[in-house]
Amino acid sequence: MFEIDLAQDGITGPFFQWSANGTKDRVISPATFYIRDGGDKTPVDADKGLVLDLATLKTGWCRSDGVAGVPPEWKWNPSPSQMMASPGEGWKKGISIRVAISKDRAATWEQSGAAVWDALVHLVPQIQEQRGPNEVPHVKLTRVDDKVYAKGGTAVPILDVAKWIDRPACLKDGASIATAPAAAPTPPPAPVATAPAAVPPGEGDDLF
Amino acid sequence: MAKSTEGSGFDRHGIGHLSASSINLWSNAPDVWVLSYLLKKRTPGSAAMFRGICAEDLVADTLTGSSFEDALAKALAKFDKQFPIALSDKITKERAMIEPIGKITLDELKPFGEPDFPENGQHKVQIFAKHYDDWAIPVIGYLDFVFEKHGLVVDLKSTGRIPSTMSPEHQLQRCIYAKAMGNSAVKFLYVSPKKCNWLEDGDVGETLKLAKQKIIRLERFLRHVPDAETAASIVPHNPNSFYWNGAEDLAQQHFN
Repeated sequence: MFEIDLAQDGITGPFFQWSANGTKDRVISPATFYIRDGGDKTPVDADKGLVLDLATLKTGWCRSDGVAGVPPEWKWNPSPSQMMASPGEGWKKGISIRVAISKDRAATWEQSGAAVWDALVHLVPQIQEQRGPNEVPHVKLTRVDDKVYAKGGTAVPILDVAKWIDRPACLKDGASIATAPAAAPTPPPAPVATAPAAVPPGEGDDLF
Repeated sequence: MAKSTEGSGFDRHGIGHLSASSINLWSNAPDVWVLSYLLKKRTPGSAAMFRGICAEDLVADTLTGSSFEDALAKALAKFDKQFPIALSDKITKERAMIEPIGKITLDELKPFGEPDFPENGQHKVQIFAKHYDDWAIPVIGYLDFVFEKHGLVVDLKSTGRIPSTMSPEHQLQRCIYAKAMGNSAVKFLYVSPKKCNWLEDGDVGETLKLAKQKIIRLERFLRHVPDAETAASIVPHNPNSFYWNGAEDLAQQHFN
């Protein structure tokens, strides 16, 4: 079978994925990251670390009918700092981000669902702090949390920032698919004084 | 007359001043007060709180000469810097409130002209809570907008729902400002994305008298606890309080 690995927005593979339950073809075990490149699936040892290119992060809503060969439908937020309301029933929160899995190999992590979103929720406090434009977090899979929801459950990959590093060359190559990061705001100027304060209270009037 | 905290419980724990928010926090959530002022650890600010700060910036910048569009872009950029990755549409809803709240506020404040700002950017006010000749502690506050020519101080409260009367917490804040500002009127302007309401509730004398009782209790508490950890082990802890939202790890670390 001729298989084109193409996402809805034209991003070509390889794709980095999390499998909470393992793949149907049993090639990938439960609670495992893997690379999908064409028809091939290869496990990734995330304990050793991954590099996330935050400048390429997109968040949004995804809907998939689960039909093989039909790409999922995405509605991206205007920017990561803005989360739109759910488009409707059946839409799940998701992300797209370029990931370096080794010094010279990058992939696109474009995936929706509770496991991936909860992984982002865990990461956000660690990556919110403003860094230099060329610094990217080197994260490691520290554990997998079993989460139970009202309907079902999943295995959440817990990624923690090990250190911040310069963006590796393989992520620089993928910059063309990136969403431009928001321009850094300039600090507001201090208002200029034009008049003295109101009539001060008399001596002793400031006691109560 | 000496105005000093020397020898008091405040002095023992290095508390040099109080504020309306500090007094209100002591009264409403003593566990969070101990965390913030004795253990020196702050709970994270909410999106709603930051929406208020950005709306106020938008109004101040516009009233002092910026175009509304430029001021709005700057205010939204400030909000985005605080929340670069929005994990919920609640954050985006707060962001979306900044522009309409700014517009309504400007409609209300423009008739008073350009507000007066000191060189350092904010009017600081201060009064003293005194207990006999034992101690006196400054209670400070910062004013949003001062219209000197009109003898008017305005505090902007951006909100999702307009109140018909001011909360006791806001009344205390207003009364501290009113006491400090002598003959100026101190009014709170509540603004939602759809409407606004001017309020001026709370008798200054009565409100400050109640606040003083709280301050005296706080001082006695501080005088009797040797350190922050002991204080944390004594005060009631309410993990269900909204004050702990986003700070569950700190609650776990210091109160369990």
